[in-house]
Amino acid sequence: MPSTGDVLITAGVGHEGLARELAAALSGRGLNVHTAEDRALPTEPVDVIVCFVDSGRSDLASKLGDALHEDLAKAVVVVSPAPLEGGPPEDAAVLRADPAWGPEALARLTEAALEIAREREGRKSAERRLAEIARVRESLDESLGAIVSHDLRTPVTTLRLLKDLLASHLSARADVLTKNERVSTDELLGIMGRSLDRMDAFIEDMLAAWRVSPGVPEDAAGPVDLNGVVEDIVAGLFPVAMQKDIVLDLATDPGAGLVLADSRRAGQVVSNLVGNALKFTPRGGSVTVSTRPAVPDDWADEDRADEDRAGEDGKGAVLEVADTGPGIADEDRAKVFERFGLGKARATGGEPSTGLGLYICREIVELYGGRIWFESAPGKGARFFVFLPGHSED
Amino acid sequence: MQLLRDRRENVDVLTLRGSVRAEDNSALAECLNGLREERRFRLVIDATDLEYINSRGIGEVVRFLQEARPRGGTVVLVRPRQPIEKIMKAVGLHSLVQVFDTLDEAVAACEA
Repeated sequence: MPSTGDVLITAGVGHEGLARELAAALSGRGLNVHTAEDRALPTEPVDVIVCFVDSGRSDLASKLGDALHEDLAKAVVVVSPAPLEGGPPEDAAVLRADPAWGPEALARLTEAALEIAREREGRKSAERRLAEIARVRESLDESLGAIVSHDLRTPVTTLRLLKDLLASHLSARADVLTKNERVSTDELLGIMGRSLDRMDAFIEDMLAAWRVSPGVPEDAAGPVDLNGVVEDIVAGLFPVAMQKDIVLDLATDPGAGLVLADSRRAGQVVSNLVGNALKFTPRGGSVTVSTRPAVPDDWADEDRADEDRAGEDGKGAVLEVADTGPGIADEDRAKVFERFGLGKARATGGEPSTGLGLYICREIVELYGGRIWFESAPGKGARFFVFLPGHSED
Repeated sequence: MQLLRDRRENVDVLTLRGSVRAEDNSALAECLNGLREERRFRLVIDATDLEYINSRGIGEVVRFLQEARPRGGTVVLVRPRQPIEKIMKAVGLHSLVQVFDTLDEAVAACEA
């Protein structure tokens, strides 16, 4: 019968009989059993040590602990009529038994110790695998930017140039095409263009998500005029709002002041939030963007130390983006800020959606000690809030 | 928002003060509709004290300009502030609408 575990039984004078009975019982269960004299610890790794001792052997406790730490054994059964002086080694892999229980009970306990041993081995193996995965991921992360930037962008750029060239050729030869053929080719070129737009948007989002990943060098945080950033971004999104007949309103509070961030990344947060609002709001709806000075409730939340997150002088600013879109479905609330957390709502103008925009916002905001949250109910639009710590001029 | 209309011989001067937000859009639209009905398409917008205009407001101005040009009309601006200039650039209006530092210059250009 193939062995299902290695067991070492050590027994001193007075325990030999019970030790032999236990060895027989364990061998009958298909285990590989070794015996050794008292005080002998294994020189080769075993799964379980069953140690028969008299009480008062305080030196044994530390020896057993050493065996576990040196991986000479994965679990220990101490068979003693009384607790060891100094106690057994503090470890979940040590079980105590009384010799009065007899060989069958001791055998069952030894099998239980084997299960513990297997679980420990499995956990260590998983930890080694996780460490390896983390090393591989770190290596991939470092090269992802280069991969995405070159290997994905280049073909997309090439395809776009070819599409434009094709369109130009077709336009020059429009006189030889029938009306239906011109309509068809226009439609096909339109589909190609939109597909390329979606790929571009996805690549940009992937790069943005990679840039806020752990291990990627952060841009230095400094004083940022939040109102200025918001005005720039909102102005840039006017054409989108006008094209979709959405009222895009802005109300900045001069009291919002300077926040601690990187201006490019702060702009990315504003752009993602306002862009999202415009994307999911139907024609005739509205998106309102506002800023105000922060109040203590803005930076306190149950998972954070409060004043520690409030910026150098306890102040900061809040950006709010409110829309009249469909709101966030109950089942989507938990994944709003998750990577690729696409919800049920669909873009009202067919715009591409990668599910990375709000994840990127959260990563950036938390990078600078801020907080992002939302209020929404289905059918009642959504309000997104961003708190960023203030920057002191001193 | 405060909206003041000053009717001159061939030109109308529309002074906008404050911000044009959602609650102000209908007033602006009504004013421009009135000009359309009266067939008056030479318009000076005094934006000296205009802090902000929303997307619908800009859309109304753009639409008025598109209707004015084929009828020999025009729209010019007086001293728009930074946020308004940013918006104008974003929607391409800065290349379509002349901007003047004073009201008199703007009116003179509109009448020409």
